Amino acid sequence: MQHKTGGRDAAVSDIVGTVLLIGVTVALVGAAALQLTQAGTPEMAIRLAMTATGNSTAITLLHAGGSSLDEGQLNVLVTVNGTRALQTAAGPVGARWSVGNALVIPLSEPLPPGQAEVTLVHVDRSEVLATAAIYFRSNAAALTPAGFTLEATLNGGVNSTITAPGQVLATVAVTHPDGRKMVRYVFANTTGVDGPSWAALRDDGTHGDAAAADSTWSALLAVPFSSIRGDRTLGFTAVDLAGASASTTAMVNVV
Amino acid sequence: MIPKRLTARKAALAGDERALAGAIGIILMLAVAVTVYAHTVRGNIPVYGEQAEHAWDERVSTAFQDLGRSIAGGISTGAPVTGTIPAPPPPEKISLPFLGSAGPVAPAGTVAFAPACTRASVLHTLGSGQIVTDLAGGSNGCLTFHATTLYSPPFGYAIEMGGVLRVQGQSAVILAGPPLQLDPATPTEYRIALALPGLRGSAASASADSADVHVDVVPGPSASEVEQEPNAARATWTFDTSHPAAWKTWLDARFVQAGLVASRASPLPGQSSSDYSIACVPVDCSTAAGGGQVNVVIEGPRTDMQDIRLSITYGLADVSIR
Repeated sequence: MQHKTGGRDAAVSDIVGTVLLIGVTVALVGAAALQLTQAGTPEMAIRLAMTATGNSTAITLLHAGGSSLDEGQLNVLVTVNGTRALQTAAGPVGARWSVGNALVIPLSEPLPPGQAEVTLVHVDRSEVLATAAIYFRSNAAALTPAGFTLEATLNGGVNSTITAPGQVLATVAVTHPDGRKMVRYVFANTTGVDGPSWAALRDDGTHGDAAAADSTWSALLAVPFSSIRGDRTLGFTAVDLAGASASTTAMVNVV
Repeated sequence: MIPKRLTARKAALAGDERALAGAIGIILMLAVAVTVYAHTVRGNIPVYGEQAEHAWDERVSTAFQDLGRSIAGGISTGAPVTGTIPAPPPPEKISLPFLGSAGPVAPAGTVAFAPACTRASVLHTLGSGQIVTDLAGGSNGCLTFHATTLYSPPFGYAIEMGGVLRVQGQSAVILAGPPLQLDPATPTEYRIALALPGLRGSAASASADSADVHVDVVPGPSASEVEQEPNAARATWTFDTSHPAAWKTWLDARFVQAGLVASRASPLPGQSSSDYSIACVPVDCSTAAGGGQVNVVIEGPRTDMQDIRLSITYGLADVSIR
Protein backbone atom coordinates (compact mmCIF):
# COMPACT_ATOMS: atom_id res chain seq x y z
CA MET A 1 0.00 0.00 0.00
CA GLN A 2 2.83 2.33 0.94
CA HIS A 3 4.75 1.37 -2.24
CA LYS A 4 1.67 2.07 -4.37
CA THR A 5 1.13 5.52 -2.92
CA GLY A 6 4.85 6.47 -3.25
CA GLY A 7 4.93 5.45 -6.99
CA ARG A 8 1.83 7.50 -7.87
CA ASP A 9 3.38 10.56 -6.18
CA ALA A 10 6.61 10.10 -8.12
CA ALA A 11 4.75 10.01 -11.48
CA VAL A 12 2.79 13.16 -10.66
CA SER A 13 5.99 15.00 -9.66
CA ASP A 14 7.59 14.20 -13.05
CA ILE A 15 4.63 15.57 -14.95
CA VAL A 16 4.36 18.65 -12.76
CA GLY A 17 8.09 19.26 -13.14
CA THR A 18 7.95 18.93 -16.92
CA VAL A 19 4.95 21.25 -17.19
CA LEU A 20 6.65 23.80 -14.95
CA LEU A 21 9.87 23.69 -16.98
CA ILE A 22 7.93 24.11 -20.24
CA GLY A 23 6.01 27.00 -18.70
CA VAL A 24 9.19 28.72 -17.52
CA THR A 25 10.81 28.23 -20.98
CA VAL A 26 7.76 29.55 -22.83
CA ALA A 27 7.64 32.56 -20.52
CA LEU A 28 11.33 33.28 -21.05
CA VAL A 29 11.11 32.95 -24.86
CA GLY A 30 7.97 35.05 -24.91
CA ALA A 31 9.57 37.77 -22.82
CA ALA A 32 12.66 37.75 -25.05
CA ALA A 33 10.53 37.91 -28.20
CA LEU A 34 8.48 40.76 -26.80
CA GLN A 35 11.59 42.71 -25.87
CA LEU A 36 13.21 42.06 -29.25
CA THR A 37 10.20 43.16 -31.25
CA GLN A 38 9.55 46.25 -29.14
CA ALA A 39 13.15 47.38 -28.94
CA GLY A 40 13.76 46.56 -32.58
CA THR A 41 12.02 49.57 -34.14
CA PRO A 42 14.91 51.46 -35.75
CA GLU A 43 15.40 55.20 -35.57
CA MET A 44 15.17 56.41 -39.16
CA ALA A 45 17.60 59.00 -40.46
CA ILE A 46 16.38 62.59 -40.84
CA ARG A 47 17.16 63.83 -44.34
CA LEU A 48 17.34 67.53 -45.00
CA ALA A 49 18.58 69.73 -47.81
CA MET A 50 18.85 73.42 -47.02
CA THR A 51 20.04 76.63 -48.62
CA ALA A 52 20.85 79.81 -46.74
CA THR A 53 20.86 83.46 -47.66
CA GLY A 54 21.40 86.47 -45.47
CA ASN A 55 21.47 90.21 -45.23
CA SER A 56 21.94 92.74 -42.48
CA THR A 57 18.61 92.00 -40.82
CA ALA A 58 18.01 88.27 -41.16
CA ILE A 59 19.26 84.88 -42.20
CA THR A 60 16.82 82.91 -44.31
CA LEU A 61 16.99 79.14 -44.45
CA LEU A 62 15.07 77.48 -47.28
CA HIS A 63 13.94 73.88 -46.88
CA ALA A 64 15.09 72.29 -50.12
CA GLY A 65 13.84 68.75 -49.59
CA GLY A 66 13.62 65.94 -47.06
CA SER A 67 11.81 65.45 -43.79
CA SER A 68 9.23 67.86 -42.41
CA LEU A 69 10.58 69.10 -39.07
CA ASP A 70 9.30 70.71 -35.89
CA GLU A 71 10.93 74.15 -35.68
CA GLY A 72 10.98 73.88 -31.89
CA GLN A 73 13.34 70.91 -32.18
CA LEU A 74 15.90 72.86 -34.20
CA ASN A 75 18.77 75.06 -33.12
CA VAL A 76 20.57 77.37 -35.51
CA LEU A 77 24.28 77.96 -34.97
CA VAL A 78 26.14 80.58 -37.00
CA THR A 79 29.90 80.93 -37.04
CA VAL A 80 31.65 83.72 -38.88
CA ASN A 81 35.31 83.24 -39.70
CA GLY A 82 35.37 80.35 -37.24
CA THR A 83 33.91 82.31 -34.32
CA ARG A 84 30.45 81.58 -32.91
CA ALA A 85 28.29 84.57 -33.77
CA LEU A 86 24.78 83.34 -33.09
CA GLN A 87 22.95 80.46 -31.45
CA THR A 88 19.18 80.48 -31.36
CA ALA A 89 16.11 78.31 -31.55
CA ALA A 90 14.76 78.05 -35.08
CA GLY A 91 11.15 78.63 -34.13
CA PRO A 92 8.28 77.73 -31.82
CA VAL A 93 7.43 74.17 -30.84
CA GLY A 94 4.76 72.70 -33.08
CA ALA A 95 5.45 74.87 -36.12
CA ARG A 96 6.31 72.64 -39.06
CA TRP A 97 9.13 73.43 -41.46
CA SER A 98 8.63 71.63 -44.74
CA VAL A 99 9.72 71.75 -48.38
CA GLY A 100 9.70 75.19 -49.95
CA ASN A 101 9.21 77.02 -46.64
CA ALA A 102 11.61 79.66 -45.45
CA LEU A 103 12.82 79.86 -41.88
CA VAL A 104 13.70 83.46 -41.09
CA ILE A 105 16.17 84.03 -38.27
CA PRO A 106 16.11 87.74 -37.40
CA LEU A 107 19.40 89.39 -36.55
CA SER A 108 19.47 91.99 -33.79
CA GLU A 109 22.57 93.46 -35.42
CA PRO A 110 24.45 92.73 -38.66
CA LEU A 111 26.87 89.84 -38.48
CA PRO A 112 30.54 90.65 -38.89
CA PRO A 113 31.85 90.50 -42.45
CA GLY A 114 33.28 87.22 -43.68
CA GLN A 115 32.26 83.69 -44.44
CA ALA A 116 29.44 82.47 -42.26
CA GLU A 117 28.58 78.84 -41.74
CA VAL A 118 25.03 78.07 -40.70
CA THR A 119 24.50 74.77 -38.90
CA LEU A 120 21.11 73.32 -38.12
CA VAL A 121 21.06 70.97 -35.14
CA HIS A 122 18.26 68.64 -34.04
CA VAL A 123 18.00 69.22 -30.30
CA ASP A 124 16.59 65.86 -29.17
CA ARG A 125 18.90 63.81 -31.34
CA SER A 126 21.94 66.05 -30.85
CA GLU A 127 22.50 65.62 -34.56
CA VAL A 128 23.68 68.08 -37.21
CA LEU A 129 21.04 67.97 -39.93
CA ALA A 130 22.50 70.39 -42.47
CA THR A 131 25.06 73.11 -42.99
CA ALA A 132 25.17 75.97 -45.47
CA ALA A 133 27.52 78.84 -46.20
CA ILE A 134 26.72 82.53 -46.53
CA TYR A 135 29.10 85.30 -47.37
CA PHE A 136 28.73 88.63 -45.62
CA ARG A 137 30.54 91.73 -46.66
CA SER A 138 30.85 94.93 -44.71
CA ASN A 139 27.32 96.04 -45.52
CA ALA A 140 26.10 92.52 -44.73
CA ALA A 141 24.80 91.74 -48.21
CA ALA A 142 25.72 88.49 -49.94
CA LEU A 143 28.77 88.82 -52.14
CA THR A 144 30.87 86.73 -54.43
CA PRO A 145 32.52 84.08 -52.28
CA ALA A 146 36.27 84.26 -51.93
CA GLY A 147 37.86 81.90 -54.39
CA PHE A 148 35.05 82.10 -56.98
CA THR A 149 37.20 83.11 -59.93
CA LEU A 150 37.31 82.87 -63.72
CA GLU A 151 40.23 82.72 -66.09
CA ALA A 152 39.40 83.20 -69.76
CA THR A 153 41.47 82.06 -72.73
CA LEU A 154 40.74 82.59 -76.42
CA ASN A 155 41.67 79.97 -79.01
CA GLY A 156 43.67 78.06 -76.45
CA GLY A 157 45.87 81.09 -75.85
CA VAL A 158 47.48 80.58 -79.27
CA ASN A 159 45.93 83.34 -81.30
CA SER A 160 43.43 85.98 -80.28
CA THR A 161 43.28 87.63 -83.71
CA ILE A 162 40.07 86.80 -85.54
CA THR A 163 39.14 87.60 -89.11
CA ALA A 164 35.51 88.66 -89.22
CA PRO A 165 33.27 86.89 -89.93
CA GLY A 166 34.65 84.03 -87.94
CA GLN A 167 34.56 82.14 -84.69
CA VAL A 168 36.59 82.30 -81.56
CA LEU A 169 36.89 79.43 -79.10
CA ALA A 170 36.42 80.83 -75.63
CA THR A 171 37.59 78.71 -72.70
CA VAL A 172 36.90 79.76 -69.14
CA ALA A 173 38.38 77.91 -66.17
CA VAL A 174 36.03 78.34 -63.22
CA THR A 175 37.08 77.85 -59.62
CA HIS A 176 34.45 77.79 -56.90
CA PRO A 177 35.27 77.31 -53.21
CA ASP A 178 32.31 74.93 -52.77
CA GLY A 179 33.07 72.79 -55.79
CA ARG A 180 32.22 72.41 -59.43
CA LYS A 181 28.56 71.56 -58.89
CA MET A 182 27.90 74.94 -57.30
CA VAL A 183 28.35 76.60 -60.70
CA ARG A 184 24.96 77.12 -62.30
CA TYR A 185 26.04 78.51 -65.65
CA VAL A 186 28.71 80.48 -67.43
CA PHE A 187 27.90 82.85 -70.25
CA ALA A 188 29.68 85.23 -72.53
CA ASN A 189 28.76 88.79 -73.37
CA THR A 190 29.82 89.27 -76.96
CA THR A 191 28.35 92.71 -77.50
CA GLY A 192 31.96 93.91 -77.79
CA VAL A 193 32.14 92.15 -81.16
CA ASP A 194 28.56 93.01 -82.10
CA GLY A 195 27.28 89.62 -80.94
CA PRO A 196 24.52 88.71 -78.46
CA SER A 197 24.74 89.60 -74.80
CA TRP A 198 23.98 86.04 -73.82
CA ALA A 199 25.85 83.03 -75.15
CA ALA A 200 26.12 80.03 -72.88
CA LEU A 201 29.37 78.17 -72.37
CA ARG A 202 29.33 74.45 -71.76
CA ASP A 203 31.18 71.97 -69.60
CA ASP A 204 29.84 68.78 -71.16
CA GLY A 205 32.58 67.87 -73.60
CA THR A 206 30.67 69.08 -76.66
CA HIS A 207 30.69 72.10 -78.95
CA GLY A 208 34.30 72.98 -78.45
CA ASP A 209 34.50 71.91 -74.81
CA ALA A 210 37.40 69.51 -74.50
CA ALA A 211 36.23 67.49 -71.49
CA ALA A 212 33.01 67.20 -69.54
CA ALA A 213 32.78 68.21 -65.88
CA ASP A 214 36.34 69.51 -65.60
CA SER A 215 35.32 73.04 -64.51
CA THR A 216 36.55 74.41 -67.82
CA TRP A 217 33.63 75.86 -69.76
CA SER A 218 33.87 76.52 -73.50
CA ALA A 219 31.94 77.84 -76.47
CA LEU A 220 32.55 78.78 -80.07
CA LEU A 221 31.53 82.43 -80.23
CA ALA A 222 30.58 84.02 -83.51
CA VAL A 223 32.36 87.19 -84.57
CA PRO A 224 30.04 88.69 -87.20
CA PHE A 225 31.17 90.67 -90.22
CA SER A 226 29.65 93.77 -88.69
CA SER A 227 32.12 93.69 -85.78
CA ILE A 228 34.11 96.84 -85.30
CA ARG A 229 37.75 96.11 -86.15
CA GLY A 230 40.47 96.43 -83.58
CA ASP A 231 40.91 95.27 -79.99
CA ARG A 232 37.53 94.34 -78.61
CA THR A 233 36.49 93.06 -75.20
CA LEU A 234 34.57 89.85 -74.51
CA GLY A 235 32.98 89.51 -71.09
CA PHE A 236 32.45 86.27 -69.18
CA THR A 237 30.24 85.76 -66.13
CA ALA A 238 29.66 82.69 -63.99
CA VAL A 239 26.67 82.43 -61.69
CA ASP A 240 26.48 79.91 -58.86
CA LEU A 241 23.49 78.20 -57.31
CA ALA A 242 23.37 80.81 -54.55
CA GLY A 243 23.07 83.58 -57.11
CA ALA A 244 26.58 84.94 -56.62
CA SER A 245 28.49 85.79 -59.76
CA ALA A 246 32.08 86.27 -60.84
CA SER A 247 33.29 87.92 -64.03
CA THR A 248 36.32 88.35 -66.18
CA THR A 249 37.17 89.69 -69.64
CA ALA A 250 39.40 88.75 -72.54
CA MET A 251 40.63 90.84 -75.46
CA VAL A 252 40.17 89.80 -79.06
CA ASN A 253 41.71 91.56 -82.04
CA VAL A 254 39.15 91.67 -84.84
CA VAL A 255 40.61 92.16 -88.32
CA MET B 1 8.40 -4.93 -4.20
CA ILE B 2 6.90 -3.11 -7.19
CA PRO B 3 4.46 -5.09 -9.22
CA LYS B 4 5.56 -5.86 -12.81
CA ARG B 5 2.53 -4.09 -14.42
CA LEU B 6 3.28 -0.84 -12.58
CA THR B 7 6.97 -0.87 -13.61
CA ALA B 8 5.98 -1.29 -17.28
CA ARG B 9 3.46 1.63 -17.12
CA LYS B 10 6.10 3.89 -15.51
CA ALA B 11 8.63 3.08 -18.23
CA ALA B 12 6.10 3.84 -20.97
CA LEU B 13 5.26 7.16 -19.34
CA ALA B 14 8.96 8.19 -19.17
CA GLY B 15 9.32 7.38 -22.90
CA ASP B 16 6.28 9.50 -23.80
CA GLU B 17 7.63 12.42 -21.77
CA ARG B 18 10.98 12.24 -23.56
CA ALA B 19 9.27 12.31 -26.96
CA LEU B 20 7.06 15.20 -25.91
CA ALA B 21 10.01 17.15 -24.53
CA GLY B 22 11.89 16.70 -27.81
CA ALA B 23 8.93 17.95 -29.86
CA ILE B 24 8.43 20.94 -27.60
CA GLY B 25 12.15 21.70 -27.72
CA ILE B 26 12.12 21.77 -31.54
CA ILE B 27 9.05 23.98 -31.57
CA LEU B 28 10.68 26.36 -29.11
CA MET B 29 13.88 26.51 -31.16
CA LEU B 30 11.85 27.26 -34.27
CA ALA B 31 9.96 29.94 -32.35
CA VAL B 32 13.21 31.52 -31.21
CA ALA B 33 14.64 31.39 -34.77
CA VAL B 34 11.50 32.98 -36.23
CA THR B 35 11.59 35.67 -33.52
CA VAL B 36 15.23 36.48 -34.20
CA TYR B 37 14.62 36.57 -37.99
CA ALA B 38 11.57 38.78 -37.53
CA HIS B 39 13.54 41.11 -35.31
CA THR B 40 16.41 41.31 -37.78
CA VAL B 41 14.10 41.90 -40.71
CA ARG B 42 11.97 44.43 -38.86
CA GLY B 43 15.01 46.32 -37.67
CA ASN B 44 17.03 46.50 -40.86
CA ILE B 45 14.71 46.36 -43.83
CA PRO B 46 13.22 49.86 -43.33
CA VAL B 47 16.72 51.26 -42.83
CA TYR B 48 18.03 49.61 -46.00
CA GLY B 49 14.89 50.66 -47.84
CA GLU B 50 15.24 54.30 -46.76
CA GLN B 51 18.92 54.29 -47.69
CA ALA B 52 18.16 52.96 -51.17
CA GLU B 53 15.39 55.51 -51.70
CA HIS B 54 17.63 58.33 -50.51
CA ALA B 55 20.44 57.23 -52.82
CA TRP B 56 18.02 57.19 -55.74
CA ASP B 57 16.68 60.60 -54.75
CA GLU B 58 20.19 62.07 -54.87
CA ARG B 59 20.97 60.50 -58.25
CA VAL B 60 17.75 61.72 -59.81
CA SER B 61 18.33 65.18 -58.32
CA THR B 62 21.76 65.36 -59.94
CA ALA B 63 20.39 64.09 -63.26
CA PHE B 64 17.58 66.65 -63.29
CA GLN B 65 19.85 69.54 -62.33
CA ASP B 66 22.36 68.58 -65.04
CA LEU B 67 19.55 68.29 -67.58
CA GLY B 68 18.02 71.61 -66.52
CA ARG B 69 21.39 73.31 -66.80
CA SER B 70 21.89 71.85 -70.28
CA ILE B 71 18.43 72.94 -71.41
CA ALA B 72 19.02 76.49 -70.15
CA GLY B 73 22.38 76.61 -71.90
CA GLY B 74 21.10 74.90 -75.04
CA ILE B 75 18.77 77.70 -76.08
CA SER B 76 21.70 79.91 -76.96
CA THR B 77 24.06 77.27 -78.36
CA GLY B 78 21.48 75.03 -80.03
CA ALA B 79 23.28 71.94 -78.81
CA PRO B 80 21.21 68.77 -78.32
CA VAL B 81 21.51 67.03 -74.98
CA THR B 82 20.50 63.67 -73.57
CA GLY B 83 19.74 63.28 -69.90
CA THR B 84 19.64 59.93 -68.16
CA ILE B 85 17.29 59.40 -65.26
CA PRO B 86 18.73 56.42 -63.41
CA ALA B 87 16.79 53.40 -62.24
CA PRO B 88 16.75 52.87 -58.47
CA PRO B 89 19.88 51.26 -57.04
CA PRO B 90 19.35 47.72 -55.71
CA PRO B 91 18.74 47.93 -51.96
CA GLU B 92 20.92 46.07 -49.52
CA LYS B 93 19.53 42.68 -48.50
CA ILE B 94 19.65 40.66 -45.32
CA SER B 95 20.93 37.11 -45.43
CA LEU B 96 18.86 34.71 -43.32
CA PRO B 97 20.46 31.31 -42.65
CA PHE B 98 18.42 28.41 -44.10
CA LEU B 99 15.87 30.85 -45.56
CA GLY B 100 17.82 32.77 -48.21
CA SER B 101 17.64 36.56 -48.11
CA ALA B 102 15.12 39.28 -47.48
CA GLY B 103 15.18 42.87 -48.67
CA PRO B 104 13.10 46.02 -48.84
CA VAL B 105 10.59 46.70 -51.57
CA ALA B 106 12.24 48.64 -54.38
CA PRO B 107 10.82 52.12 -55.05
CA ALA B 108 9.04 52.90 -58.31
CA GLY B 109 9.20 56.02 -60.43
CA THR B 110 7.90 57.56 -63.62
CA VAL B 111 9.40 60.14 -65.95
CA ALA B 112 6.78 62.09 -67.87
CA PHE B 113 6.50 64.98 -70.26
CA ALA B 114 3.44 67.25 -70.36
CA PRO B 115 3.43 69.72 -73.24
CA ALA B 116 1.07 72.37 -71.85
CA CYS B 117 1.64 72.59 -68.13
CA THR B 118 3.24 76.06 -67.94
CA ARG B 119 2.79 79.37 -69.70
CA ALA B 120 4.92 82.51 -69.52
CA SER B 121 4.10 85.97 -70.80
CA VAL B 122 6.76 88.66 -70.83
CA LEU B 123 5.99 92.30 -71.54
CA HIS B 124 7.78 95.57 -71.13
CA THR B 125 6.51 99.10 -70.98
CA LEU B 126 8.30 101.92 -72.80
CA GLY B 127 8.80 105.37 -71.35
CA SER B 128 5.93 106.54 -73.51
CA GLY B 129 3.60 104.07 -71.85
CA GLN B 130 3.42 101.78 -74.88
CA ILE B 131 3.41 98.08 -74.00
CA VAL B 132 5.63 95.72 -76.00
CA THR B 133 5.11 91.96 -75.92
CA ASP B 134 8.34 89.95 -75.74
CA LEU B 135 6.78 86.54 -75.22
CA ALA B 136 3.08 85.65 -75.21
CA GLY B 137 2.00 82.37 -73.62
CA GLY B 138 5.34 80.70 -74.27
CA SER B 139 7.79 78.54 -72.36
CA ASN B 140 5.33 75.66 -72.17
CA GLY B 141 6.11 72.11 -71.28
CA CYS B 142 7.22 70.28 -68.15
CA LEU B 143 9.44 67.30 -67.67
CA THR B 144 8.56 65.59 -64.42
CA PHE B 145 9.69 62.70 -62.28
CA HIS B 146 7.62 61.16 -59.52
CA ALA B 147 8.79 58.41 -57.18
CA THR B 148 6.55 56.14 -55.15
CA THR B 149 8.37 55.19 -52.00
CA LEU B 150 7.64 53.00 -49.01
CA TYR B 151 10.21 53.93 -46.38
CA SER B 152 10.56 57.71 -46.85
CA PRO B 153 8.31 60.52 -48.06
CA PRO B 154 7.58 60.36 -51.80
CA PHE B 155 9.63 62.77 -53.88
CA GLY B 156 9.63 64.23 -57.34
CA TYR B 157 11.38 66.68 -59.63
CA ALA B 158 10.26 68.94 -62.44
CA ILE B 159 11.88 71.05 -65.12
CA GLU B 160 9.68 73.95 -66.18
CA MET B 161 10.44 77.35 -67.68
CA GLY B 162 14.16 76.65 -67.34
CA GLY B 163 13.95 75.98 -63.60
CA VAL B 164 14.54 72.73 -61.76
CA LEU B 165 12.13 72.04 -58.91
CA ARG B 166 12.00 69.47 -56.18
CA VAL B 167 8.44 68.43 -55.45
CA GLN B 168 7.18 66.74 -52.27
CA GLY B 169 3.42 66.33 -52.20
CA GLN B 170 1.82 69.75 -52.73
CA SER B 171 5.04 71.58 -51.82
CA ALA B 172 7.92 72.45 -54.09
CA VAL B 173 11.17 74.35 -54.06
CA ILE B 174 13.27 75.65 -56.92
CA LEU B 175 16.69 74.06 -56.76
CA ALA B 176 18.00 76.05 -59.72
CA GLY B 177 16.10 78.73 -61.52
CA PRO B 178 16.33 79.82 -65.15
CA PRO B 179 19.21 82.11 -66.14
CA LEU B 180 18.27 85.44 -64.57
CA GLN B 181 20.70 88.29 -64.21
CA LEU B 182 19.61 91.23 -62.10
CA ASP B 183 22.08 94.02 -61.95
CA PRO B 184 21.09 97.30 -60.38
CA ALA B 185 24.33 98.64 -61.88
CA THR B 186 23.77 102.30 -61.12
CA PRO B 187 21.19 104.26 -59.14
CA THR B 188 19.72 105.40 -62.44
CA GLU B 189 19.73 102.19 -64.47
CA TYR B 190 18.97 98.50 -63.97
CA ARG B 191 20.18 95.70 -66.20
CA ILE B 192 18.00 92.60 -66.36
CA ALA B 193 18.49 89.49 -68.49
CA LEU B 194 16.17 86.50 -68.45
CA ALA B 195 16.22 83.28 -70.45
CA LEU B 196 13.04 81.23 -70.66
CA PRO B 197 13.39 77.91 -72.46
CA GLY B 198 10.21 76.13 -73.51
CA LEU B 199 9.79 72.40 -74.08
CA ARG B 200 7.61 70.84 -76.72
CA GLY B 201 6.73 67.33 -77.80
CA SER B 202 4.02 64.75 -77.37
CA ALA B 203 2.79 63.82 -73.93
CA ALA B 204 4.71 60.74 -72.89
CA SER B 205 5.85 58.82 -69.86
CA ALA B 206 8.21 55.98 -69.05
CA SER B 207 8.79 53.83 -66.02
CA ALA B 208 12.16 54.16 -64.30
CA ASP B 209 11.51 51.18 -62.01
CA SER B 210 14.05 48.80 -63.47
CA ALA B 211 15.89 50.59 -66.28
CA ASP B 212 17.35 54.02 -66.94
CA VAL B 213 15.13 56.47 -68.81
CA HIS B 214 16.76 58.67 -71.44
CA VAL B 215 15.45 62.14 -72.23
CA ASP B 216 16.53 63.67 -75.54
CA VAL B 217 16.32 67.43 -75.82
CA VAL B 218 16.96 69.07 -79.20
CA PRO B 219 16.87 72.86 -79.13
CA GLY B 220 15.15 74.60 -81.99
CA PRO B 221 15.69 78.18 -83.13
CA SER B 222 15.82 80.71 -80.32
CA ALA B 223 15.32 84.42 -80.25
CA SER B 224 16.80 87.16 -78.16
CA GLU B 225 15.50 90.57 -77.35
CA VAL B 226 18.83 92.19 -76.61
CA GLU B 227 19.21 95.86 -75.94
CA GLN B 228 22.35 97.91 -75.51
CA GLU B 229 20.40 100.96 -74.42
CA PRO B 230 17.72 101.25 -71.75
CA ASN B 231 14.60 99.95 -73.43
CA ALA B 232 11.98 99.66 -70.70
CA ALA B 233 10.45 101.63 -67.88
CA ARG B 234 8.78 98.54 -66.49
CA ALA B 235 8.97 94.78 -67.05
CA THR B 236 5.92 92.60 -66.46
CA TRP B 237 6.22 88.84 -66.28
CA THR B 238 3.37 86.37 -65.79
CA PHE B 239 4.00 82.71 -65.09
CA ASP B 240 1.25 80.06 -65.01
CA THR B 241 2.56 77.07 -63.11
CA SER B 242 1.61 74.21 -60.82
CA HIS B 243 4.05 75.56 -58.25
CA PRO B 244 3.43 79.31 -57.85
CA ALA B 245 4.66 79.42 -54.25
CA ALA B 246 8.03 77.99 -55.23
CA TRP B 247 8.46 80.51 -58.06
CA LYS B 248 7.42 83.41 -55.86
CA THR B 249 9.89 82.38 -53.15
CA TRP B 250 12.74 81.99 -55.65
CA LEU B 251 12.09 85.26 -57.48
CA ASP B 252 11.74 87.13 -54.22
CA ALA B 253 15.06 85.75 -52.97
CA ARG B 254 16.82 86.66 -56.21
CA PHE B 255 15.51 90.22 -56.17
CA VAL B 256 16.44 90.76 -52.53
CA GLN B 257 19.86 89.27 -53.21
CA ALA B 258 20.36 91.69 -56.09
CA GLY B 259 19.62 94.60 -53.79
CA LEU B 260 16.17 95.45 -55.15
CA VAL B 261 13.56 96.52 -52.62
CA ALA B 262 9.88 95.64 -52.62
CA SER B 263 8.85 98.78 -50.79
CA ARG B 264 10.82 101.96 -50.24
CA ALA B 265 9.58 103.86 -47.18
CA SER B 266 11.09 107.22 -48.11
CA PRO B 267 11.76 107.42 -51.84
CA LEU B 268 13.89 110.32 -52.99
CA PRO B 269 12.33 112.78 -55.45
CA GLY B 270 11.95 111.01 -58.79
CA GLN B 271 12.81 107.62 -57.28
CA SER B 272 10.42 104.69 -57.59
CA SER B 273 8.76 103.72 -54.34
CA SER B 274 9.17 100.06 -55.26
CA ASP B 275 11.67 98.17 -57.40
CA TYR B 276 9.47 95.15 -57.82
CA SER B 277 6.35 93.33 -56.73
CA ILE B 278 5.49 89.65 -56.86
CA ALA B 279 1.93 88.47 -56.40
CA CYS B 280 0.17 85.14 -56.74
CA VAL B 281 -3.24 84.29 -58.11
CA PRO B 282 -4.80 83.02 -55.89
CA VAL B 283 -3.20 85.34 -53.39
CA ASP B 284 -2.06 82.60 -51.03
CA CYS B 285 -0.22 80.85 -53.91
CA SER B 286 -2.24 77.71 -53.22
CA THR B 287 -2.64 75.12 -55.94
CA ALA B 288 -6.04 73.87 -54.84
CA ALA B 289 -7.42 74.51 -58.33
CA GLY B 290 -4.54 72.59 -59.89
CA GLY B 291 -2.24 75.51 -60.52
CA GLY B 292 -1.74 79.19 -60.05
CA GLN B 293 -0.17 82.30 -61.48
CA VAL B 294 2.77 84.44 -60.44
CA ASN B 295 2.78 88.08 -61.52
CA VAL B 296 6.05 89.99 -61.41
CA VAL B 297 6.42 93.71 -62.02
CA ILE B 298 9.88 95.29 -62.06
CA GLU B 299 10.11 99.06 -62.03
CA GLY B 300 13.09 101.08 -63.13
CA PRO B 301 14.87 103.11 -60.49
CA ARG B 302 13.22 106.36 -61.58
CA THR B 303 9.52 106.99 -62.00
CA ASP B 304 8.23 107.18 -65.59
CA MET B 305 11.71 106.85 -67.10
CA GLN B 306 12.96 104.28 -69.60
CA ASP B 307 15.82 103.13 -67.43
CA ILE B 308 15.92 99.31 -67.62
CA ARG B 309 18.20 97.48 -70.04
CA LEU B 310 16.09 94.40 -70.57
CA SER B 311 17.31 91.32 -72.44
CA ILE B 312 14.97 88.41 -72.97
CA THR B 313 16.10 85.13 -74.53
CA TYR B 314 13.60 82.43 -75.34
CA GLY B 315 13.58 79.29 -77.39
CA LEU B 316 11.92 75.95 -77.81
CA ALA B 317 13.42 72.51 -77.48
CA ASP B 318 11.92 69.22 -78.62
CA VAL B 319 11.68 66.60 -75.89
CA SER B 320 11.38 62.86 -76.30
CA ILE B 321 11.54 60.14 -73.69
CA ARG B 322 12.88 56.65 -74.30
